[in-house]
Amino acid sequence: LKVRAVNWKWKALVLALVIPGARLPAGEDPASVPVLAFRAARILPVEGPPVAPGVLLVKGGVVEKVLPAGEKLPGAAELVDLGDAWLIPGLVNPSSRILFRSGSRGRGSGVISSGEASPGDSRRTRVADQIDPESLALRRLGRSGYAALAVIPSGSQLLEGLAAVVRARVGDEREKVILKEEAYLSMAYGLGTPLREAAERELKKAAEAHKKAREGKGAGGAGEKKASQEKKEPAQKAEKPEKSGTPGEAEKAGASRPTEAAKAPPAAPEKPRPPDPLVQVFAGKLPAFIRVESAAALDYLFLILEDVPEPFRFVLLAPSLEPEMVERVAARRKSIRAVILEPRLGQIADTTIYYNTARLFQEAGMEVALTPLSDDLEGHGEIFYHLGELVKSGLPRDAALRAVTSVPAKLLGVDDRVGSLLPGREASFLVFQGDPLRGSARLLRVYLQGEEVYRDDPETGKASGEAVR
Amino acid sequence: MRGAVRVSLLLLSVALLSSPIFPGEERRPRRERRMEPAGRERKKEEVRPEEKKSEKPPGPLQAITGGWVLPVSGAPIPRGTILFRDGKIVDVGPELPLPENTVVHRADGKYVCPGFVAVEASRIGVSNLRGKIRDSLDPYQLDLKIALATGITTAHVMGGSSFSFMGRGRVMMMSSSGSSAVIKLTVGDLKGMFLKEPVVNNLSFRRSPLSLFQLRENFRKAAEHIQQVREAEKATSNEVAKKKAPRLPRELAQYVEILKNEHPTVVNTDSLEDIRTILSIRRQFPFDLILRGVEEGWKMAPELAAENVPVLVKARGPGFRFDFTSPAVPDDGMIPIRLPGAFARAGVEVALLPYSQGISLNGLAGRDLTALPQEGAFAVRGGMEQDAALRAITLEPARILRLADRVGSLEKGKDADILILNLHPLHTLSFVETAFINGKIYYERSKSPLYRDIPLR
Repeated sequence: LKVRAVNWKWKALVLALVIPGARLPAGEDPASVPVLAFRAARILPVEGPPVAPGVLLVKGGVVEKVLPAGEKLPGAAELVDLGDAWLIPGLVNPSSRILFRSGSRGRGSGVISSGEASPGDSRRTRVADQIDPESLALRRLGRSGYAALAVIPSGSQLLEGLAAVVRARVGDEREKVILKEEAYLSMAYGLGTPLREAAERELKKAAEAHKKAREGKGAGGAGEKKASQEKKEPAQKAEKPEKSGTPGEAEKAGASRPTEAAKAPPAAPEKPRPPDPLVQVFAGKLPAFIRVESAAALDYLFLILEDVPEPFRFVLLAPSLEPEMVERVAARRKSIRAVILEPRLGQIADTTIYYNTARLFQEAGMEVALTPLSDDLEGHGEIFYHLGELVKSGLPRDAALRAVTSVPAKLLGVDDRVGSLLPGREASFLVFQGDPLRGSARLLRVYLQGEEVYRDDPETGKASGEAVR
Repeated sequence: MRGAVRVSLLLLSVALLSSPIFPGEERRPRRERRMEPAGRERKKEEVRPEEKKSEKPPGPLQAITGGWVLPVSGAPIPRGTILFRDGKIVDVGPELPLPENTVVHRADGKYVCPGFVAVEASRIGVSNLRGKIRDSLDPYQLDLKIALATGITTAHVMGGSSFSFMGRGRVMMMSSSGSSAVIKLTVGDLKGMFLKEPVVNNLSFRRSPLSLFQLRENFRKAAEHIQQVREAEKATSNEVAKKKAPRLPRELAQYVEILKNEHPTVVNTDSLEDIRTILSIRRQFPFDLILRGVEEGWKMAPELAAENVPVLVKARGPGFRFDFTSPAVPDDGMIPIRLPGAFARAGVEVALLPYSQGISLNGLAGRDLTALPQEGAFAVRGGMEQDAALRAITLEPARILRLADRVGSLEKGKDADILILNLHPLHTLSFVETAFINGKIYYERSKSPLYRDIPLR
């Protein structure tokens, strides 16, 4: 442990020295940065129409432009001819635990469908503090086609903690890996009394705290900065038990009578803490992703939310939802920003009737994002196969691609960096031999931030690159 | 630059959030939104009917017309009309006049009866039970859909493990009282689902002279305890009474619950001895008793009738036994199919149990919950009157579950839980065509893949 700490310190030192120089491309002379021009039979920027044939201009690891192939290239551009390949942006996984998993392959256990939620509360856990920037899983993910993923804390709890968005790259620098420190508050809900009670209690408490802060702001007529300070205060007050008796007494009361915990919750923080993430969610300052165990759990959640005095928006993660739930969710689109699903067809139990939930949501006008079917390396690698299945059963092609790129990027608040090939985005893209949504399509190359991390040579059948080792 | 964008975004989001985000129709009156036990809600309504009216305009009047109506509480009504509104039956009678704008469901040439009440069902509509059943209901469960398709609209569901019997010598019991609830089978609709929890107390005892003595002693002590608490309350003010109330030994808790009689008590027994014991205890310390699985009890049927003790029986023999020594048919020749009729003729309230309480679909004919109406048919075959058999899967279970004011028959003021069937509900070839719960259609045979493709005969 000590060695590790020293190691970190040393790294931090190197980091401090390296960073000023590493800031590309802003710090350097723009003319000296080489421009790469990737020419492909078809470029799908996802946001925007396909360009076929097209050229992707990359400068300093950032997308400069997508041009039709005929147009004149800038003089200094170095041409990389990808032949009849298709080119799409690198994928974004909106919810994963892959960095916390051991090597074993948990078949069919996606993040969404695995684990029953418990009423636990670890809302202040920051995944960003737990990430090993040299994780092998990160390195290997590069070959799956994922450019970025939001990592949520392990365990399955009502209030799980703060997800971080990381690139699928290894780096000796934390900054190279972490794209966003606090992307959203990850929450889970399932059936049962303990969860129902905890959810009612915590949501109401946070809503009250937010309401108080907002009303306080209205009365004071103070500026934004002051208001946010005020918001923090009641949030902490709400957490503190009334310290009339000894602190131990308050703790006991909280522990032994969970139903009355609203009045006397667990022990108060000793030192000043950052604002309560759940209150931040109500204030609209932090996105919330709520994962539900089943359609029934979602119905309970709706009932609970009806009694929460303040509304808040959230992204819904659901393993599979019965067709009749789609309408119900779509009716709440004002509070549900989007749905995140597993890319599989639902089946009405004991029948041969299948339904494509993603398509149903898409037709209902909801934003849909998709996770890999199983939360492991293979699952990430197989995503295109499953996307193809969904497309085959009616999900429009562009919706399918957007569901693994631009939609999750937007939900995570990193769409200015990843998720499309619009100018200014990181040049993280995938090169396919043919249509990526066709099951047989082969992933030939993966570029992350303009660097080739994976190459599969169709001639020799040998794979190489940073992501292979 | 970016900072400015961020601030403006923040302002925008704050502005968005400060305005009510849910559309107006989502905001329902508080009373409706809570998942309170329906019984409690009703009481509130009774207290302030005017206020209720002002809160919500009455819904449309609906009618089921032209069918052969079996109200269960009375004689069949040829070409009967059932009027209902807002989930409650407004009137039942022969060819009632229909006010304008009545929504009519035609049932010409069909049978109309109340939804069946399953007096026992295992985990129908319950998933991942943690804590109370009311927090673990699953309105999307396949079992729930199948049970509704067979006509069950109300079910007493058990959260605990199944029933088992360790031979004739020992009596096992069902789950503890906390983990059973009565639900309505409102498929896909969580809000209408919960009726009450808990529902019954359960009592089991071993058959040995010592334990029977102990049983009586326990009841005696429990009664004493209740008496003491009452006296303490009388003697002093409430707060002091609480402190002075005698401590309750844990082993007596269930007996105190039984004697409080907030819920009826189920005793699972098959021997005359046990029945005699429990009846004699009950004479001394009264409580509502339900006997379950009483194979030998038919010999005491007149006594049970006189003491108003209902029975839960199966029409197709007891469950599987590990005890192969006792004969399949007892020496006295009372084969299982005759049991329900024997009890009913003696005037005992009979509620029919399915052969097994889950939904398994083992075998086409089915011996599970989906065959509940067939149990009625078997009982008729064994000598029970047809209307008594129908009552044994509707009104009698409703009474036993203390829900006869809500479900079990087609009467004014009761819940509009109504079935439309092609044939008499106990006919083997009958199918539920439409099932209403709380005045709403939750099942239509023509739209459900379950029985849609079976031709009607």
